[in-house]
Amino acid sequence: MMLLNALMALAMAGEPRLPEVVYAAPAVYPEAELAAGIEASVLLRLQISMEGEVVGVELVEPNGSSFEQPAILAAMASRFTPAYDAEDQPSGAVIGYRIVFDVEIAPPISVEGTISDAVLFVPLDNVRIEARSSDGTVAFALTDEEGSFELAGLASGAWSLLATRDDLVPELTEIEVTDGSVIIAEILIMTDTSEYEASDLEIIIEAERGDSEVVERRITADEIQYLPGTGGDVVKVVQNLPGVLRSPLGTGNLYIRGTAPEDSATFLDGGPIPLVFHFAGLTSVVQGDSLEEVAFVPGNSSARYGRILGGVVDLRTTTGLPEEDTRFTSIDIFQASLFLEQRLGDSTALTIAGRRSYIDAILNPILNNMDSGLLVQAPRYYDAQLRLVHEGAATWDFMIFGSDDRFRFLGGGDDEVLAAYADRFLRARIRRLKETGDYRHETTFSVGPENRFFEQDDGDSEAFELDIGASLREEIEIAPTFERPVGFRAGLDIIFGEQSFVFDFGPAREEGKSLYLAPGGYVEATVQMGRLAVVPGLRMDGFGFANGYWANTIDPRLSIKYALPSSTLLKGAVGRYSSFPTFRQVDEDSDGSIDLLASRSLQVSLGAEQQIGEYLTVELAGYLNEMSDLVVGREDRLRFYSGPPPIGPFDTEPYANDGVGRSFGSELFVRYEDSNSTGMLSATWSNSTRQDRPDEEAELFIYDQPLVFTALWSESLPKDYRLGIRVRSGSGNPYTPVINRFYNLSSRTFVPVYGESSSGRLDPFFSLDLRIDKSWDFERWTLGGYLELQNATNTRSPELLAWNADYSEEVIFTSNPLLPVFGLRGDW
Amino acid sequence: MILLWLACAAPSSDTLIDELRILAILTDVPEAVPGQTVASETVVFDPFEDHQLLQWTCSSFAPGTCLEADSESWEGISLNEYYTEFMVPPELVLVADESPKPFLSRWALACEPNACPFLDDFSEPLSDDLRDRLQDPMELLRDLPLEGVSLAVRSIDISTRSNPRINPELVCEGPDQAAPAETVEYACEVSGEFDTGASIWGYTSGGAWIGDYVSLSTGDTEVLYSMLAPEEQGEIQLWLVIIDGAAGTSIWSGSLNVQ
Repeated sequence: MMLLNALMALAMAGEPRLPEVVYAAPAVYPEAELAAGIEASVLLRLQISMEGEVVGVELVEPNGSSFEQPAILAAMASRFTPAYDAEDQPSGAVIGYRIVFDVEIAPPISVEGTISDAVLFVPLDNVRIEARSSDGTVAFALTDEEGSFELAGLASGAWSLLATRDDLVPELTEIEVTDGSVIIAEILIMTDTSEYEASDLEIIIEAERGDSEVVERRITADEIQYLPGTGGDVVKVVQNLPGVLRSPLGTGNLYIRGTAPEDSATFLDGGPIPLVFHFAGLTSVVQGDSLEEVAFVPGNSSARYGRILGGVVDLRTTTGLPEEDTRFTSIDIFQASLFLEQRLGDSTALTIAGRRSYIDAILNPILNNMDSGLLVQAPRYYDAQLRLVHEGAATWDFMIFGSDDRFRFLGGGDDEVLAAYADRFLRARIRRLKETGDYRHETTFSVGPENRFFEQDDGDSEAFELDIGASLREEIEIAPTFERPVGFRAGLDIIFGEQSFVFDFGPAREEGKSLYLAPGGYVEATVQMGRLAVVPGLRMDGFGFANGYWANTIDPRLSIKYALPSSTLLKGAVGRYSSFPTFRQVDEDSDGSIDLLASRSLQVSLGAEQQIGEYLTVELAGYLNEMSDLVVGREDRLRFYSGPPPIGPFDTEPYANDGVGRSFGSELFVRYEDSNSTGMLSATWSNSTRQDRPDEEAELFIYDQPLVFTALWSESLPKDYRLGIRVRSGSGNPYTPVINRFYNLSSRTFVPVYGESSSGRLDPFFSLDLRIDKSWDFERWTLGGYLELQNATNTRSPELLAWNADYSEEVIFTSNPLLPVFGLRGDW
Repeated sequence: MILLWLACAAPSSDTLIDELRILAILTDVPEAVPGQTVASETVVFDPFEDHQLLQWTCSSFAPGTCLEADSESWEGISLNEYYTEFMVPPELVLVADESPKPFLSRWALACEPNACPFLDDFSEPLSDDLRDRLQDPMELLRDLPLEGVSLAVRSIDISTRSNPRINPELVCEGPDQAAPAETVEYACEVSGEFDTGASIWGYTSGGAWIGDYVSLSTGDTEVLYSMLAPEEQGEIQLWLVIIDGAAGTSIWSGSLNVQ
């Protein structure tokens, strides 16, 4: 017997054997091809291990057909016997393997599923699904761009589906397959981007964390660096987004969804800051490299934001230590910048940044060479940030930052100031942040002065508003998870300090000073029910001054999101919002009214977001903002304006909550982004009206712009070049025409007689900006340069209407002429 | 803003008067007692000298109404008279120096031919429609053209003070001849009580004054004011109007021969 066996072994030893199929996993028949009756076969080259497993699959004749992917997946799930060599030892082998798609024997679909981000509800592509039965049979699938997958021909019984991708938390789902039925699997997975840490290498514009808002925007810093018209400023990109109306004369104020700049608010890490842009909107007051994200919410903001009737811009600094040191200096025709971010050991980092404009250095000699008898100091600004971050059990973040804008007109003498204006603030902020898993606890305290100042005739006349304030925000957040689909956020938002003002022009001197306290609190829940997420919230605010004024508000808010399987996200929100009067408005010693109430706003938003393919996203949103109890009156008082000086007729009656307003519109936002190109198209249709007094008719808001359109494209070219183009167009602002005038002989001034309110409108605005970038890499540093042609067509669009002294002629202020801007930046 | 400030010290085109304009309404007292009769003179520049001039008085406790409208004969109304007299309504005495403080305005409307059709049919007693329109001159202007019409108003303080304010005085001297585009200087002696806003305003039928006005402070007695002669030759008219920051006003007029 032993001899027989030996002889047989000798006989077999000369005939190596190829792998044989043990289990041929069924391939999913492409749906469209099956419906059309199209058949095909796919020839594969399989690498089989010594254990008979398929360890490599390769297309022999790839042609891009829709049969290839199912064939590869089926082959990967198939099992073989090992190959045997001449000595009858198992060995690896490469074999040809053909999978035939025959309509007559197409396996039935067993599982149809989608995989989505558990928080953002966006579909996830390229997720590998491994289905495994109790007997060890496996099948594979891969999600497509819409997050969809199918498994076919699974035997009845219990199966486990394991979804994996490099950046995913692996998710295991159990299903029961039965003959003749199709299992629908909707799987939600936590991803890295579901969590709250953004990449250190990116600056993003996005909605507030927790996604309570209906409208969210996300743009990477790489795009922003090269977008024409932005100067690489992350915050300036906000001006191009839907819902943001064009700022007259490029003042940089944010007119969001038909509301005035003072109705919206700007924050840095949740603490209010008085301004977001330097003079003329040239650049933001905080260097973009200090920021991790900019949250732009045009309306229906979450309960964590209060004391607003409009939108929110929240600049959020980085929350952890930088992965690498950053050092750069840059210059352009407006300013010079320095940014140094250095790690000090393993747990501490220091950032020093500053900017100084030198427009004055360029313009002063030109203006002062005009033999006018005046010395002019053109606008100039500074800003600076000093920051120390220490990461331990919690992250401690100490930051001092400030901004100072000013310009002056000097008389013949060196020290004679004819007029001067300044707008500045300084903040010291400390933040403690502790994050563990889905738990987040943040405490932020900031304190510092802010003031606006104007003087005329060497101090004979002056006006200033000074706020020495502090803000405290304490927030606890428990984010929803797949296992616990209910999350919470609760916080305290308290501001307090002292407001003072002086308006001293001739006999009309007004001044006042008062302490103030504004406690606020909010709570918000996030309830996820499959594809539906519901976020109810409640905010309560109070506001009081030392003269006995007090007002409080309760603002409920609700937002809902629903993710459709087709990569569509539907969103809706409704909520109340409130803002409070200033001390000057309630100070009875200076013609204020202590009976003023908070102004109110009811905001409703509806939106949809559609991902089309890998690179294109389309968003559509509609909104309504019903404002009531707006403070009106005393427009004859001297005050600081948030935009160009208002044009009469003026409401000179005492302050009252008589004003109402309505703003509604729709917004379209289309984004395209691939490895070489970035494109944006935003369009806003809107209507905004105000009715100051009950006996008056509603009229157009002074900054009503029915259509605002912006298109941006930036393209990467060979040899480190990049080209960009931006086109902006929009409706002109309405104005009230002057139809006649009379002469006041006592003051020697003409007094206009106005026609129908807001019955005129300036011509539309248009501008075309072009930009080219080039970078050079050296051994130790990188040099980047750009040339930007702002208003390349030199179109002088009307921005503001005024009149000559006797109102006989209209004087139109136009936009800037063609302006070439160039700059250099060196990183080392 | 920059251009605005530069303009303040440059030759001011606003000082050039080349069309119909009411330059001043002078009254013999700037501060009157209720029941007092006030003499008034109206100075009008009209390059064609063919305008019509309507003047009326409106005394009131609130804008939009005139006590004069309640009488059959509107006190102080006149057509094409440059020297007039009117009486401050005695009713104002009852509430003088109390709140609401009464005020008296003197209005003047100059119209080129056919610009103000209602003046062609002007007669007393006034129609109800005209009474309404005179009480609200801004409404009156809505129906009138921008060109060829000049409407002006000045206020007269109502007071029972024992030492009422008087008009300031203004006497100026300067060259009566200048070369084209030459800058000439006028020295003015001023006297009076000057409040905030007190100033001298220049007007000319050719060329331009350097700056819209010259500010005055209490104690000022002499002021220099320069003007730029026109490029064209010929005689131009000059006016300097002083206002004291309250209700007082005076005018100096002269001429300059540009050769």
